[in-house]
Amino acid sequence: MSGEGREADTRLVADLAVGDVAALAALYDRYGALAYALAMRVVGDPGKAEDVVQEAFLNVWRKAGTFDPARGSLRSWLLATVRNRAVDSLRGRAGRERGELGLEEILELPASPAHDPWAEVSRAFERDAVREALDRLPSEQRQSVELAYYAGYTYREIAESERVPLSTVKGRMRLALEKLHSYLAGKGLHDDL
Amino acid sequence: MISDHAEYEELVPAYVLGVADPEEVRKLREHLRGCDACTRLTGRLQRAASLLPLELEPAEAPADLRERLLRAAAEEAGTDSRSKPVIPLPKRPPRAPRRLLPAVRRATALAVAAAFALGLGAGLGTRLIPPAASEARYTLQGTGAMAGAEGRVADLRSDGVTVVWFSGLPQPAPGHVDELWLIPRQGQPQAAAVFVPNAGGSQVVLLPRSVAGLKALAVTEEPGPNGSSQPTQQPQLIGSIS
Repeated sequence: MSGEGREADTRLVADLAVGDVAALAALYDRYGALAYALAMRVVGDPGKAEDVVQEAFLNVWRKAGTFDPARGSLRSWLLATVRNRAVDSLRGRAGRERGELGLEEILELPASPAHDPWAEVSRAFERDAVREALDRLPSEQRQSVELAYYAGYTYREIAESERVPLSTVKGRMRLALEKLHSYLAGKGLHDDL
Repeated sequence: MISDHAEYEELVPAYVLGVADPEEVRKLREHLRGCDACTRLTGRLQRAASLLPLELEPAEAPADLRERLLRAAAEEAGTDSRSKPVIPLPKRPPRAPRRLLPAVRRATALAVAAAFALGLGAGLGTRLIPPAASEARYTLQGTGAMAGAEGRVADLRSDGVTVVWFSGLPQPAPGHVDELWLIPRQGQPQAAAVFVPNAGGSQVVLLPRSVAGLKALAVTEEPGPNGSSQPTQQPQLIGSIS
């Protein structure tokens, strides 16, 4: 994320952390459409998607005090929350039941402290770049990643669905994510550790 | 049972995609604390996974979702001591504003409702609740150093509460605060509250009284932390009550 974007997020998080409802509104205005698109992609039902989005924004608002912008962007945090709640809704389970990444875990992951690549390109560029990266994957690798991310399928469930050995699924998923990382880094959407 | 490094590596994609089971997650986290290679791998794959939703075209959510979200937050804030929709800093004791605090607590729900009636939120122009017959609304406009700032006033007369929501305020100079004044039809301005805008230039002030009968409300920048007993400058943000 650009310095300006990171600063804006830092200010927004500071306001969220003290319970500022106007800051929540600003967060929604910034990311609500993307969050809703993600929730819809996962649950496929407008009513459930609305519930997911509302819960996710409220959760981020409540927990903003735990957010450290040096460890990741506000957008990634929010979207991870939306995704996790959407998958929970889709699969009819309580949060964390299957050990999904929660807010705290996401923030504990290493991230580039000096350079968040997202905000340095436009939203359209980002979208095109991610789509290009996905299009370049072999279909079975892309399918594995999408089944896990958007449908919450485990390795075993994907193996059964695709009728391939478990080891094949693991290999496909790792290859897919490594290729995505590499391609998007080359587009300025990533930086290597 | 996970026994070697390769098995932990295999778990990382499932972990970053949120589909590892709880026991695997627990063991992997333990392993990550002592394994730089897996930590780096996790970082790379996590970033790739976090970019996935950017492929999606943003979708317009139903218009009332935003309103419901903000209502839910406001209701929660009204019962949560960390809430910040209402922060009238008391003027120096034992003057009237200090006595506002119990009233503030009693009136939090009213204040939240009034703030929403004013369109509290980033849209700022949306009236989420139509004004009741017992409400009166006014607007304060900024000039000079506060040009571009606005104050939106909801006077809930039947409840004896007035909420003023400020937006677009500049940050006061170091050591200074913003001070809200009640300007009567005759006589001197009365200090009502001192406050500091948040980083976004917004703040909400609750007054435990109706402003009916006053001539105007005004804001000036005054020395902090307690403000002044009388304005030391011309009003920078002002609106008539009529």
